[in-house]
Amino acid sequence: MQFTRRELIRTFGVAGALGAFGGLPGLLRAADRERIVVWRNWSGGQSCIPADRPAPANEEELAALIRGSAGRVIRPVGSGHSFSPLVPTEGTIVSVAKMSGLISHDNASLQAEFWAGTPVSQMGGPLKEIGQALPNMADIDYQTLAGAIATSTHGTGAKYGSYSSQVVGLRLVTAAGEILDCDAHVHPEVFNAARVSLGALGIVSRVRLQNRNAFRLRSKNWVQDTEELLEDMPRLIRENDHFEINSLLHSDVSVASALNETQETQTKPKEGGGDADKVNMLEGVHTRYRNSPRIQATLLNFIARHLVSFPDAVDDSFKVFANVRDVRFNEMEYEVPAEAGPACLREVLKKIRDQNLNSFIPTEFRYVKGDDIPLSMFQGRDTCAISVHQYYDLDYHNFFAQIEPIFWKYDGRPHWGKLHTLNARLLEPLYPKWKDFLAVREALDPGGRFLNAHLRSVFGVRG
Amino acid sequence: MHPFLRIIFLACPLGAAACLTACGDHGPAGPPSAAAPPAAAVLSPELQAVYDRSCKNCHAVPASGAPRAGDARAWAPRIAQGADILIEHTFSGYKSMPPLGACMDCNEKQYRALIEFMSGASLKN
Repeated sequence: MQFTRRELIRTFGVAGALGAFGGLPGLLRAADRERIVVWRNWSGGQSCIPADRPAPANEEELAALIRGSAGRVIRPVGSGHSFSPLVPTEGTIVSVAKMSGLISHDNASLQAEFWAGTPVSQMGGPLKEIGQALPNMADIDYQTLAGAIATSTHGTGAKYGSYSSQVVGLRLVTAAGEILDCDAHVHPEVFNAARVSLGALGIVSRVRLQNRNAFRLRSKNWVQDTEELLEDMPRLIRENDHFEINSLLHSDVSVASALNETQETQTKPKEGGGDADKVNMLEGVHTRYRNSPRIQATLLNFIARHLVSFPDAVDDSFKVFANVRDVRFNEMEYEVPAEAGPACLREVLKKIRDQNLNSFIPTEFRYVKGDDIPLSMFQGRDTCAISVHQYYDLDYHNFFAQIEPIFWKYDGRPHWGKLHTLNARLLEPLYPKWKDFLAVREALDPGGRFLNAHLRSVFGVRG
Repeated sequence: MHPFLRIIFLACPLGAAACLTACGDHGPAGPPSAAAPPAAAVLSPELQAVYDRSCKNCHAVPASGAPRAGDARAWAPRIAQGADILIEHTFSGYKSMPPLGACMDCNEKQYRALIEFMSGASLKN
């Protein structure tokens, strides 16, 4: 029989365990020297030492776990890709990773139900086999389905909503350990709130999605003057299914990306690998020429316009949407009214350049269709999503602190999964249905078992 | 050198070396094998599921910068650093490698087994 260090101490007490195994070194040998695991998110910017990190294999185990850990804070985790402190707790971090895969589907309605822990990267293949596809996808697919809908994760496309807007039903395991199915007809108030919940209503175990028929995409990328692109933005987002620009900081240019449905059967796969080489080039130029802004801008403009190629790709939709992101970073993103997007981006880029802020990862500028979900950043308005990034190994505080007030000026709502500094007092005026969500949360979890310190601040709930 | 970087190198007359200060360094690495041989170890069904949902996103993607599963040559200099350093890099993240290898519930024993599977080598300590 093998014991972990925790089990040894619980069984024999500290002194007994030390004596029985010949002091601390002996104890460590007996317990296979397992180290303390500090939980960290993808960027490494958030961390905690939880009491435990279970991964229940099914809903019955999940419900029993919740019922059996009364008095302890529970935070669900997907792939740990949120930059904001949604997960950290000294209590229990519950992973839904073992509840993964396609459960069922309906050919007539083009709906499919997945386990909530399914990585988005593992949804495209199974969906294709049943003739379905997600209508839109984010530019990375590392997230789990549960994490993606908890934070209203999105791709780009003025006619397309976030992942949450495609949810037509879900199952929730509540603070009481009860299993609750909900959709537009059954517990509709819970359903509405749970489509974007920050994991504060319980743990979502399965999700039913409204999909479309499988399709193929062509991606086209090019470099152009940022101001020209912003001037032409109404046409670009009208004429392309999915359009975004990534603006190179400290330069005059952006990389534009247009993805459109195609009937072409000849596959042209995306380039392999990630974006580390390109980002490392930007870092190199920025590091060397940061104190010579004109040279930096000239060099970046020239390199981007004349020396970098972005080949077209044609493939199944899920293979074109997703990219490999092999450079880690921290991120802040705000959602501003669609019509305010170009002006807001201009101001962000001007601030970065005027203040010569220390960052080199491009901004991202995307469009998302409005929805009716109480806590969605896209509730009630078509939206432009603007993201700024900081390399994971550089301090982001000073950089983001200078950009965030620009987003406030444009009536921006912070992305729930990304860094921001707003609390309940500042968030409530941004969300017309704020109180609707709080009422559902209070009814489902009056003891605040799913609230960590961050969420208590976000919802204005005292500890 | 990646073709893109070769172009950048030529395009940086004012500081070519500086342009490349942080390029392409994902940890000590040998030249990649032309074809990755199969991994030496076999995973339990539970760890195979972990590999599929976490490790595979990078360690099975060519040119991601991560040593590919089964590529013993790419893993050799990492293994030479010793288990303690590999485990620390796994826990805390290292350059492109995300903390915990994107497995939110794995324990140290499981991480060791996954490293041994991908590297085809046995961790000594």
